Amino acid sequence: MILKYEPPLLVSRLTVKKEAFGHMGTKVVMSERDLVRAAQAGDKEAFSELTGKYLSYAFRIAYTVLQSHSDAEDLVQESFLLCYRKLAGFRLESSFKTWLTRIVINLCHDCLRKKHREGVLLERMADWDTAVTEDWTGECDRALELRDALGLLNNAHKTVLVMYYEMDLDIKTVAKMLRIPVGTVKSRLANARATLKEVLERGQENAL
Amino acid sequence: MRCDSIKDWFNDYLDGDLTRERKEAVDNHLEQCSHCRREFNKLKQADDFLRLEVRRMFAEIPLPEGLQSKIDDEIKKRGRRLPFYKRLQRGYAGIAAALLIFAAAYGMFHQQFGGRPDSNVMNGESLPEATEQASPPEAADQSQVYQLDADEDVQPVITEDPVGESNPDVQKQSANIKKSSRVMEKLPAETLVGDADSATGINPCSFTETSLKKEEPAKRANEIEGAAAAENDAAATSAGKEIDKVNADNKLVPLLPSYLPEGTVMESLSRSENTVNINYKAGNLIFGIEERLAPEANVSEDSPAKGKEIKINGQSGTLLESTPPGRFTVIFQQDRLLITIEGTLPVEEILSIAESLR
Repeated sequence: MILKYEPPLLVSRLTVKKEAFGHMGTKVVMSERDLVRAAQAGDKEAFSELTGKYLSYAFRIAYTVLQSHSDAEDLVQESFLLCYRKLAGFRLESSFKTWLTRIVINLCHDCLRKKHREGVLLERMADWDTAVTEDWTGECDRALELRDALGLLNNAHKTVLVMYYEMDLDIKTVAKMLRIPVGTVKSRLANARATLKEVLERGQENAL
Repeated sequence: MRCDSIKDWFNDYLDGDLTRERKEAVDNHLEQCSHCRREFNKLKQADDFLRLEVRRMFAEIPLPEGLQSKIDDEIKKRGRRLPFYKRLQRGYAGIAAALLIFAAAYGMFHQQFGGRPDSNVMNGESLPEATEQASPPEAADQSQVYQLDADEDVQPVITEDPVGESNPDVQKQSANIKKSSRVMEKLPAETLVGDADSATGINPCSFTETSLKKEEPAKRANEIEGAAAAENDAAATSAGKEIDKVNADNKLVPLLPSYLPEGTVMESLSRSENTVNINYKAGNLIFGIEERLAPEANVSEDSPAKGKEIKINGQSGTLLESTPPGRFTVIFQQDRLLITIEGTLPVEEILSIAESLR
């Protein structure tokens, strides 16, 4: 329901803005923005603080995509280095976390591509884009545990789930970051839900 | 509504990918149909479990030891900003070319008129030097040299450079690029809409506030940035930077809607230092978007306006309807902009436009 309000439109609009600014003006806490700005000015300690804050997050994303501890470790180091170098150009239009995530995901793509060229990850890449979801659903018939079901997912599928559920990105952003169609993101989510629903239903039957 | 078509929308519903009408249709149907409600709840439950499980799995990924100190070391060793010529490589070609042409033209001018660049060739009057440096861009004629630049893919972006102001040469260059930016602003809206999918995620469709002139001291780029800019090569800084290399705090980078109702025409676009106003017309309906640079952090969650709380791309906003009804206003914050959309469009359209501003 839309509430009606009395004062003329323009006036109330201005009031909203003024108050919003007033509220923000009173903030004095050293925010993440300040940290970023300090780091931009060359304060390595400030950057180290930012690193500490997002290190585990960045590592886990890299691990989700690459599924290799050593690769993820190298990649995270590389990501923060790149972050530091590019920091002067970071315009704080998005949060630092989002910006960092993009860097990590981009480097992951580069890494996968390189490995693909080297032939090491041919297999892993092969299922990056193919629909393994049928397999997955099939195998899930045997997997009663939620966890097992998720364990059977391939990395590409897991990455979508992590980005959507853990990182709280909307489907369009996920698609954009992973450079896959929105439809693919949606079908992966739908498949995961369908399978979990099945697992849950079966779990209830078994419990009876 | 038939159950089947409603069921087809369940996943879209959970994805947050349904239009308002459809979402309402689903809600209404679920209220009436117990069978669908049961199905939906199961799927919703699966979705909740999935979220929990994914988050748990993510949090359980073990971390390697000593990674923080490795990174700190790495940055000490290799953490240097790219040298300016490397920064030049990527997006600067257009700006560099424009500068080169300008330099050439300037040289020719010197040759032709015996080194009297300060005098007005047309009437022979001598202009005071200060005028050349401080005159607003409108006063100066926009020669073709500048327009060349506007045709480039690369959009010139100027930083406010405290260093540059002490250097007349640099300032002249900046002023010239500033002119080219003005030219660009006058181009139709389409030219401003770029491919939003850049590798670093920084919206290249942005055209940056290029005004060199007096800013309120409070809004002025703070000392820290001044220091950062000073550290950079002054020439590279003033020659304009690649889009993601700019210290662009306190600069308004407007968002343009990727969705507009069919038949919408842009009526006007105006901007000041920290506000952009775009007015549109769609048939006999009108609406306008105002984007204002918000200072720090987020707008307070508890908006002081009396209106309906809404979510725009996950951010809370306010929806107001005028008395008498027929005019809606949506106020929300996206990135660092406080955005107000107001108009006589149906409220769904206004919300769709709001959601496309990102």
